[in-house]
Formats: sequence, C-alpha cells, structure tokens
Amino acid sequence: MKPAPFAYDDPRGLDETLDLLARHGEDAKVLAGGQSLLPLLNFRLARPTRLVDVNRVDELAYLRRRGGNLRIGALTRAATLERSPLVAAEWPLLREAVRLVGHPQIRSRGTVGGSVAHADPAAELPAVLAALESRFHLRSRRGGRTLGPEELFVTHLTTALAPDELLVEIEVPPLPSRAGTAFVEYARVHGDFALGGAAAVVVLGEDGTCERAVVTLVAAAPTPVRAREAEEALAGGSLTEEGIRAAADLAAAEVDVPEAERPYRRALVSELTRRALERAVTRAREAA
Amino acid sequence: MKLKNEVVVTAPLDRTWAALLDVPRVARALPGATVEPDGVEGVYRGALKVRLGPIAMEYEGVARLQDVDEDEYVASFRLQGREVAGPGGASATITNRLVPEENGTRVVVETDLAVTGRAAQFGRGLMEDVAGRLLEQFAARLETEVLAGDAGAAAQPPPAESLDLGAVAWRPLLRRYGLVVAVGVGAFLLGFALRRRPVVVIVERR
Amino acid sequence: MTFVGRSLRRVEDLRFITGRARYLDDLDPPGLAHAAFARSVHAHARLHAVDARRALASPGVVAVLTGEDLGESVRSLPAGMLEDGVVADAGHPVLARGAVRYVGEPIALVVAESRAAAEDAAELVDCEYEPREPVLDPRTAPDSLVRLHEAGNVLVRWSRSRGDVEAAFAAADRVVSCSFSIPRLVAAPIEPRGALAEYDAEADVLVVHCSAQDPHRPLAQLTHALGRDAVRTRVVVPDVGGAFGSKGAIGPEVVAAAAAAMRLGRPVKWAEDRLENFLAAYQGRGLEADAELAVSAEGRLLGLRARLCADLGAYLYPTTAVPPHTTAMLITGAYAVPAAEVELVGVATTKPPTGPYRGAGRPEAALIVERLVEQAARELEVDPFELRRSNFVPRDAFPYETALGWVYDSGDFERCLDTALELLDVERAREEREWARAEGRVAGLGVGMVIERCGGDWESARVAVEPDGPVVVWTGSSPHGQGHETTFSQIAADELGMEPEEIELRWGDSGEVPAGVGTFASRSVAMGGSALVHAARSLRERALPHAARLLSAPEVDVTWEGGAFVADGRRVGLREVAAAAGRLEADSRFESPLLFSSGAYAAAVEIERSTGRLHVLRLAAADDPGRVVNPLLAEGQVLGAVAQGLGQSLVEEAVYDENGQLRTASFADYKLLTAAEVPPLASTFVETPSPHNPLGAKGVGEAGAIGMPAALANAVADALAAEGIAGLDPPFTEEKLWRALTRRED
Repeated sequence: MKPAPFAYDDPRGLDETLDLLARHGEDAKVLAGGQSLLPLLNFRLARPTRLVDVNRVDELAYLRRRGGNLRIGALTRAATLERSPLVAAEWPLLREAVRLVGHPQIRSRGTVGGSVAHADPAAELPAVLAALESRFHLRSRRGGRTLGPEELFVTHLTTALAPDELLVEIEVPPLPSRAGTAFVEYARVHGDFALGGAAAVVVLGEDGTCERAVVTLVAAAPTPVRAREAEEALAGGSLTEEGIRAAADLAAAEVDVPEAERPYRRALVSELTRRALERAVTRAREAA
Repeated sequence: MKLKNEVVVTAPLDRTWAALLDVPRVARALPGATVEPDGVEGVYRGALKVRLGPIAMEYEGVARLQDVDEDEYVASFRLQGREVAGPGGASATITNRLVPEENGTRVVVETDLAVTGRAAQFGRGLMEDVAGRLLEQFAARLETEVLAGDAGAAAQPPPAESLDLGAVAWRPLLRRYGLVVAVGVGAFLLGFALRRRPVVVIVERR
Repeated sequence: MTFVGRSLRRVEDLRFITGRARYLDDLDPPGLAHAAFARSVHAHARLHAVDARRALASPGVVAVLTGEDLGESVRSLPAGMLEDGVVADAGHPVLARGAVRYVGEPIALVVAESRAAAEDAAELVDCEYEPREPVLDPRTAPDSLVRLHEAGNVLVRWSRSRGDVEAAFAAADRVVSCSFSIPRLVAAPIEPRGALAEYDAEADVLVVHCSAQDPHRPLAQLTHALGRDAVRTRVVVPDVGGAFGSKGAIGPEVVAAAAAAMRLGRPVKWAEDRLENFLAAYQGRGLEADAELAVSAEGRLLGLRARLCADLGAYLYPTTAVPPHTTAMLITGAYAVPAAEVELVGVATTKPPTGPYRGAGRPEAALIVERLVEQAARELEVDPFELRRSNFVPRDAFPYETALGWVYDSGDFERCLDTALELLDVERAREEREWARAEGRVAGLGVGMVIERCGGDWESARVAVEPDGPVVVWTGSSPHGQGHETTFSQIAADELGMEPEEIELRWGDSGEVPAGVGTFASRSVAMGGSALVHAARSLRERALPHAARLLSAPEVDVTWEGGAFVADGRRVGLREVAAAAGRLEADSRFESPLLFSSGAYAAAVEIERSTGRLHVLRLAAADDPGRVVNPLLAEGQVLGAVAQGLGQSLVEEAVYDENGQLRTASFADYKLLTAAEVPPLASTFVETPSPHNPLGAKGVGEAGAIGMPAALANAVADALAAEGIAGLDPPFTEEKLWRALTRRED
C-alpha cells in the first residue's frame, strides 16, 4: 500500500501555494492533515501526480473571533477546535461534533479545512458547519469567492472548489441568544465512520415556541443535507414530543442511500434527529 | 451488480431505435467520454477518465454491439475495459429494450456490471450508492440530449479530457448523483461518442 | 517460595512498549531487495499468459518471477491429512499457473530496490485472464458444474457415527433442529505476515526469518515446497505482532521470496501490507451447518446429528481441515450424549483458504450445541440451566470418552456453570430482564459452555545451568504475545530453585531449537511448560550424583527440597553443582494425549428497538484451564479472547460479493471492536488439574472466543424469542437486529 509516485511541493506562504495550484491544479492535490487523503493514496484510489503540502503555510492556521464571527483558518487542526475555550463557550455544537471525529490521533493532524474540502458525507464537521450556516472562503490566483454550504458541497467527496482554488477560511456566524444546539451520531464502533447523524440548532422565540430550527444530517446523502421540511415543520411550533418526532420523520425522508439500505438508515436518522432535537430544545430552554 | 432503469422518450419507436443504434450520437450525451470506431463493424475503442473528488479512475477498453434483435427492438452492448494504471478492470453488458408507448417509446435498460481491482474493494458503499439513481437520471438525459435535437450532426460538444464533477454543466446532476455512476452508466447505456480522444469506459465498482 | 500460580507481571513488555522489539520489517540486511506481488483481480479465471515486460522495465526492478519461471523447481505447499477422512491433494501453488482461484492469489513476484518500486511494477504485470464463474456458496458448490479442482469441489470428506443414532431419534419425544451460517473472519493481527529470505550459495544454506507462530512448521513447509534439506535450511522467528492462528502455516509468498533470494543472490523481504492480509491471508470459520438434537420429554439429550458444510476456500493449507474436524468431534459439547452422528463436507470456493483462527472449530461447535440445548429448553419449557445440569458429563465421570471418541481428561462443568451464573448475578439479571420486558424493551440472557480441545502431540525443551550467568531454557514453543518469557521462567524457577530473573528463554530459531511442534491450540503452557518441567527434572537427575558428592551423603539420602539438594541438614543448589561438575544440561521430549479445558460464559443483553444496537449489560466467565501458572496472564488471555468473541458476534464478517470480490478489504469496512465496546467482564478460574502433565495445566488462550459467541447468541435468541422471532446468525449487527424486530424481509 505505497502510493503511486508523485512530485512534492512544500510551500511556506499562501501566494506560493496559489501559484502552485494555478500551474498544476488539475493534477495536484493539496495535502493538509492527510488523514483522509493518505489512505486514498495508499490504496491507489487517488493518484495525483503532485502533492502540495500546506502544513507549513502557517498563515492559514488561526482560530479567532472578529466582528462576532468565528474565523477558522483552514489549516486549524481538529484538536485545536476541540480544545478551544472560545469554541466551547460560543459554538458548543462544533466542540460536540469535533470530539467524535475519529480518534485523538486523527484529530491532532486532521484539519478543519481538510475535512470540509474532502467532503465525506459521513464527516461531522461539514454537517455542523452547514448547520451553523457557515461561509466558506476560497482563494485562487484569479481572486476570491465565498460560498455557502449548499453551493460548496456538490456530492460524495466533491466540492465546488476549482482545481486552482484553495479553501482558506471558514467563517461561522454567532448563535443567537435563546439558541440550543446538539449533535448526535451513531457509529458501529468508537471513532468509526458514522452510519447516521444529525446536527440541530433550535432558536426559541420570546414565547418559548420555536422561532427557527436548522437540521443537517450526516451520512444520509451525498452531501450534508439540510432537512428543510423538518425545519419548516418545527418553525412556529411549540416543540412538543410529537412535534419533534414528526420533524424527525420528515428529516429521515431526506435519507438518500441505496434502496436496500434505506429502511434501516431512515429509522436510524429519524431516531438520531429526534435525540438531537430533544437535546437542542432542552439546551435552548436552559439558555433562555 | 445489476441495474435496471426505464425512461419514456417522447419519440416514436423507429426514431428511438435508430438513435439507440447510432452509437456516436448517443455518446454525445456523455461529456468527457470519447470513442472511435475500431474498424470492425459495431466495435468501438474508448477510454474514460473519471474523477470523484480525489479518486480518479482511468479505463480503456472496447465496446461492441453484441446482439441486435430488430424484431423485438432489443440491442445489447458488451463493454470491457482495463484500468490504465492499475491491475483491475470492468465489464458490463447493457441490454436496451424498446417498447412502444402511447405517447412515445419506453426504453428499458438492464445493466450487468462487474468491477475488479481496488475500485471493487473500497468505498464504504460509496460507489454503488450512486449507481442506481444515476442510471435513472441518465435515462432522462437520453431523452433530452439525444432526441430533443434533430438526428445527425448537432453541435460538437466541447472538448474535455476527463469527466470532472467540477464541470458546471454537470453540477445540478451531480449534486444528486455521483460522478462515477453517471459517467459509467452513460457510457454503458449509450456506447461511445465519436471523439478525437479516447474516452474511458467507466468501470464502476461492483 | 514458588512462582507457579503467582500473578507475576510480564517481563517481555518493556522492550515491546519502548519500541525495542525487532519485528520482521525491522530487519534490514545489506543488499536487501523488496518484494511485492501481482495478484489476481478475478475470483476465478483461466490464466493464459503473464507478461512481465512492462514490469521489468519499471524503475528499480530487479526481477519478476512467475509460476512459469518457477516451473517444476518448486512444489505446491502441502495439503495436510485428516485421520479417518479423505483430503484432496489441493495444496496452494506458490505462484499461479494456468488458473487463479481467488481474488488476491499471487501470480507474480516482483523484486525491486524498494517496496514502493515493487508495487509500481506489480501493477504493470499484464495478465491475460479468461474469467470464469466464481464458486461462492459452499452448500451448492459440490453440485456446481464449475469445478475448481480435478477432484471437483469437495476437498474434504469425513463422517462418524457412534451409538445408535437412529434409535435415539426414533425414541425422542422431541427433535430440535437449527441451521447455522457462520461467516468467515479475518484474523487481523496488528502485524501482517512477512518473511526475509537470505541464501548463501557457497554453503547452500537458506535462512528465512518469518513472522510465524513457530519455526518448525514453516521449516517443514519450506523444505517441502523447495525440495530442500532441512539441514541446510533455517527458519528464525523474530518478535511477532500477534497471529491468532493465521501465521501457523506459511503462505505461498514466503516460498516465492525464498526462491527469489536463491536465484538473485540477494536477501529478499516480503512485508505483507494490510490489503494483502485482508485479501490473501487465510481466514477463520466459514461454516454452514444443520443440526438436530433428540430429546426426551424429561429433558434427557438422547442423540445429536449434524451436517457440516465448510467453506474451505480455493486451496488447502496443512491445517485447513482441522477446524471443521474439531467442530465435528466436539459437537456433543459438555453433555453426556450417548449417540452422535456427524457428516463433514469441506468445499472449495473461490475465496482465500481458511485455517485456524482463535477458537479454530471449537466456537462453531459450542455455538451449534449450545443453541440446540437452549432451543430444547425453550421448546420443552424447562429451565435452560437445569436442562444443562442434568445432561452434563458428571464430575465423577472423568476421564470421559465422548460418543465420537475424544477423551475429556478432567472437568467440573456444573461448577463452571454455577460459578458463571453467580458471577453474572443471574437472579438479579433475570429480574432486570423481566422489568425491561415489562416496559416493552427487548432483553435476553444466555449461557454458553466451552469445551476447548488443547495440547496434545509433543513438545521439546532443553535446559542448561552454568555456575553463573543466565539459566538458559530452549523451547520448541514460540511466543507471539502469550508471555512465554514470563510463564516459562516461573516454571523453570520453581523446578530449578532459581529466581525467574535468572531464566533466559530462547525460542524461534530452528538452528537453536531444531525439534519442536509449536504454538497453537492453546498448548504453550501445558505442552511447552511440561516439557520444560521434564527437562528440568532430568537435569536434576543428572546433577544428583554430583550433589551427593558435594553433600558427602549417599544418593539415596539426598532429596530435592525448597529448590536445592538436601541431605542431613546441608543444602547445595544447582549452581554449586555446576561449579563443581561443569555445565549441566538436559533435554526432553514430552508427549501427551489431547487435553480439554472447559468453562461457562454468561451474558445479559438488551437490544435498542429504535437503532437495533445491542447492549451487553453483563458478562461473566468461569474458565477451567486446569492448573493456572500465572493468573494475571491467564486473565489477559480470557479478556483478549472475549474481545474477539464479542467482535465476531457483533461486527466482524468477511463479505464477498456475487463476483467473489472481498467487500470488507480494509478496517473501514471490516469492523473491529475497540476497548470502548468491550464491557467489564467478571471472570474467574475453576481448576480441575489435568492428569496428563506434571503441571496439571491445560489451555486458556481461546476459551473466550469459544464461550462468548455461544453465550451471546443464546442471549440474543432469548431476547428475540420473547418477541416471537427466531434466532439469527452472527454477527448481530444493528441493522440485522432492527430488521428482525421490525419484521422487515431482507
């Protein structure tokens, strides 16, 4: 399981990196934490002729709040996100999810940007970043652009990133007050790829009813899908047990996997969504 | 892996049948896929390079019209490809059956697909996830791409070296379906498009 | 002060956990060349041609060897034999010629300056295949027109019938029947296989370092395949990162690497990678079974019939037939069943061969008989524990010859069951189950009895005592995680009057330990340890005359007490004898009939309706491995085997698709439990010493992998029965359980 031969570049700055991608984009792959890419290289399922190793592009590694938004440099390690007091206090959904990303060893190398760019439907970070309605900043020699989750995530392992583009930052808006969040997933063994999962954000109105809700699903479809029908069903409602259960079933209807697997995966996603919503509601009420 | 799909195209049986046998025309629906006639009647050489994110599979092979039943309107193609870089390969038998319908023609496509090599062993169920649904969408494209225009020379599709999910034109399709299956199924269903560069027959896992 | 029976901590661990162990892949002699294999991508195909031209032109390539190149100079690996049975001559060819019969079968060996270069070139070996239909279902393979071997698709036939089986079934008030589909498992040792071959052409000496369970069997298999003299061939086993049975027989790759080293005059190393290990290393289990139990209305087990259909894979390794044969022989389990009939058919399929994997046939037997007994209790509406107790081989009936002809040396099955139930707190567990059910939850309790056939055959040992320095013990046994250095030094210390720190254990080098049997079938302590005891006693006998002289006493008055020779109040130890008389040395060859450990495992489970997840609430084990030399290590063995037993019950399964492609070819798809999934285990030992060796020891290494799956299967069956659902085959995945509970058709 040795990779096929490749050329290797080790840029130190963003400009240098973008130059390399402009020149070699079609045949190059960006290497960050390598926790998803290296197995693909080792299995020879991916055979880029060039690896652009961005691990030393320090200007991409930062975690800060500015203007109320959390700005995550793409090279931020998952472990950094996990240990950040700022994230724990203001964006607990991220922390809850990142702790379920693989094992500690994986989190010490894997990056937030890498997880997003890899776009594995079973990944936790894309789903919670989507649930938080994050914005994704891309750069290339041709300029910069910003995409929302549904524009960025195209399908399995595929984003809208052009070959010469690099994801440089993820910007996460603040949660409103009276918001509760939760992330629930099911994996067959600890640290394994999720079989199903749900991220829920519930915002209460002043009267305690649901002002709005965001639900995204993990491992349910080729992308971290938003369960919009479920969200609509919850909005304006009083968040009863039945209401949540009904919304969970609507979310489960979004499950888009091969027919043979569908019944079980829908049941699983329904249950996980239900649990996530219950927890988010409880936390929203505590916060209010 | 067996796939089955159907589509009703709003064209009469004869016209649909003619289009189905016009391999180069039908293959135009498949971006990034190219074939050239092999010299032998009904045989085409092709290659297809497909990407799904970091995963890239490149195959080259042969497609031949296997049997044609003009009375029953059944045509089957046999595709066989080998990985360009790895030891694996893929083969498929695609059987298209036409049934006249009230307002058009039903095209029933049955694909029997076998993949060997790494693509067969990995993916955590990734690849097959898209196969079935893509076939469905492809069948829908069959109508628009092939039959909407007139028979014969339509505008040449833009040159492409590989089918890449990043391609804008494919985005809506790919948002719902996987690249691999789309391309694969396309290639299988349609045979190969006339192209100056070989197109890879996508050999899908399983 | 005696050391046997004490929980000494492992002495070997320091080098392992500080990275100072030397595994096969750490070996890096000068001039080393690296091997990779071009392997079949088809499950079944005629192989018309192999063209190595592109591979040879690849950078860094030294050579490419195909089956044609090896020609007649190399024989297929041996196929093994079965007493009273028929075994086809279907040994594994070293490199494929004319046909390939499983995905991953080695076709060509590429030798290059680096492993990466070898892999690059292996992709360029062009194989002309003519694909043929795969053969995948062992039940239908015998009648298939697609024949994998000249002899057809049935490679092993064995049957035995003892007692009046017909009468038993005719007299039965009830016949309980169950069918089983026990999937294949991947042994998944943390270190895959490998070998380093070095050849001295001048001296005609071949030395092969091999990640193996012992040097003896690889030596025998290598010399057979290469047609070499064992005198001029040496196998050395370095530190080994686990095996679980999967490194007992060498793979054809080892022979190919040796052949290459001999031709090239350079050392050649094959360090298997994980993908190869998944595809080509021999797998465990793989059994279809139909079994019937004849029972009287009073709950007496009258007779047992079983038809076993083993999925053996494409070729036979020397030990491929052993696990299903063991299953057959142990089919009556812990019970005094007077009549039994077993028919075994071992079938060829287009998958890699199977072989021993922790449990090696005994888990299958335990699953079959324990499910039958549990089902009988359910149908007769009697207490499943009482039904067992009244049918156990009674504690005063040992040695007990089973209907099929094995002799259990010692045991107390009732005590094991009672102890396990006590550890489980069965009364409380039953209450909890009833509460859960009253609340509409799905809960169950189950028990599985263990009979572990272990030991047997013979083993060697040699001991040398010098006036100072380490006391060296050579053993034919060979550790790959068991802790031999610790347990053997305890045994030697007791027998020789030394401290365990003074003992130095040597193993694994056929040059140093030319004769031995090896490590498998939980035999290390019972056989290797007993050989050591005999060698030590033999050495004491040799020392006696000298000791008598030193003590100025007649030999008859000299006794061995407290670790020294004693006469008339004076003492002299072996060191002093060696100082006076010179180096003391003795060896032994210890023979023994088969030994039978036993035990009882119990589990309480709950299945979550909404997700199908199986929660193991309570786990208990009462094992009888005879006399326990080191309780800490024995407990470790139980825990490790339990983890694998849980794995095979909950998540593990080697899955092949309709084209014979392995779908679970990495840990992304073949799941292994982590420590987080293994619940606390209440475990204890019951010791009924074996009469067959001076230690009274039997074996404990595999019991958890035998008892846990049976207990869990019964617990799940109990839980599902309350829902009106019949039992399921393992692994009990959440999806399978959910479908059963929601009554979905698959």
